Amino acid sequence: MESMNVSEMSVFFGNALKNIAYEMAGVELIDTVPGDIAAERKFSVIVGIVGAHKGRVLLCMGDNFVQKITEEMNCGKLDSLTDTTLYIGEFSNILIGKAISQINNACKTFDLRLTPPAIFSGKRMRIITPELQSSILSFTSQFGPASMDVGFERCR
Amino acid sequence: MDLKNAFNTAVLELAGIFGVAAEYKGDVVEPVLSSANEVNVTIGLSKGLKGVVLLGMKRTTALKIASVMAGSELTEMDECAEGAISEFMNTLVGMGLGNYKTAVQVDFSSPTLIVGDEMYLMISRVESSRLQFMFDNEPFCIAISIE
Repeated sequence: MESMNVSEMSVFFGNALKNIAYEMAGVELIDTVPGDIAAERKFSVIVGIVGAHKGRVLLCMGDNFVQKITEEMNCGKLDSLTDTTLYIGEFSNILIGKAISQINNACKTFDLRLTPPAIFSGKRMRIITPELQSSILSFTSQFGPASMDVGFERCR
Repeated sequence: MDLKNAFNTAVLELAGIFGVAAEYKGDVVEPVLSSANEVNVTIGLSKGLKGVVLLGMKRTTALKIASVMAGSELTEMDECAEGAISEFMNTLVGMGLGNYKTAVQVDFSSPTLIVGDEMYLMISRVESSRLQFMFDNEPFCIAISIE
């Protein structure tokens, strides 16, 4: 039986975020110690994972980071918060999908699949999710911070 | 009883249990499941029904509900209030699904609470029904989105 723990899986997600942010928007992310994202407006995306392991990835980003990514994706400014929300949801879907494909290639019995992303944005926003065995990855960039919380219900 | 009526009945029953005046104000169908409320709780449905139930309200409404549940007046969204609101949603979804008579079992996830100011939530691009209530004279809504 193939197995992988949460930390091992989180490496795939962290690398996917770094690679996709660089490839799509030229944003270089550097690993840093976990801490609160200090931006006034924050964006969060939750993508559920189903298959042999159930879990979720919670991606949190500051507004400058989101603005840079979404403007690069659109090749120009976006008119509304709804558009920004949809673009950042798609960005998250792409990178989490990439990580899931790599995990499935490494452990074929996992057969992990994604649920559509739920995207939240707000000022002084807090998200309280059920406690899971999770691994937190934090990054910094010239456009502000980003963090990822990768959690699974049951995992080695 | 259909799902909309099942949840409508559940809200009114739950309000009755807590001794709070609740009034159904109607419902609207929306092309997506979104919210701009300050306090939101989501629960995912799986197995017999796949979808999401969203509870949305103002901070003042959440504090009123949390105070009734905690048995003492709560003035800020602290851990106690967050726990009470999550439990309220858990009970509401349990009662709603209990009222919805179906041959297949429906599972529901633990609640996720999202609190903040100037919020915008895009939870699903599946059509949703938003049931609107006045709960102790405060607006309150339940949105149900089934795939």
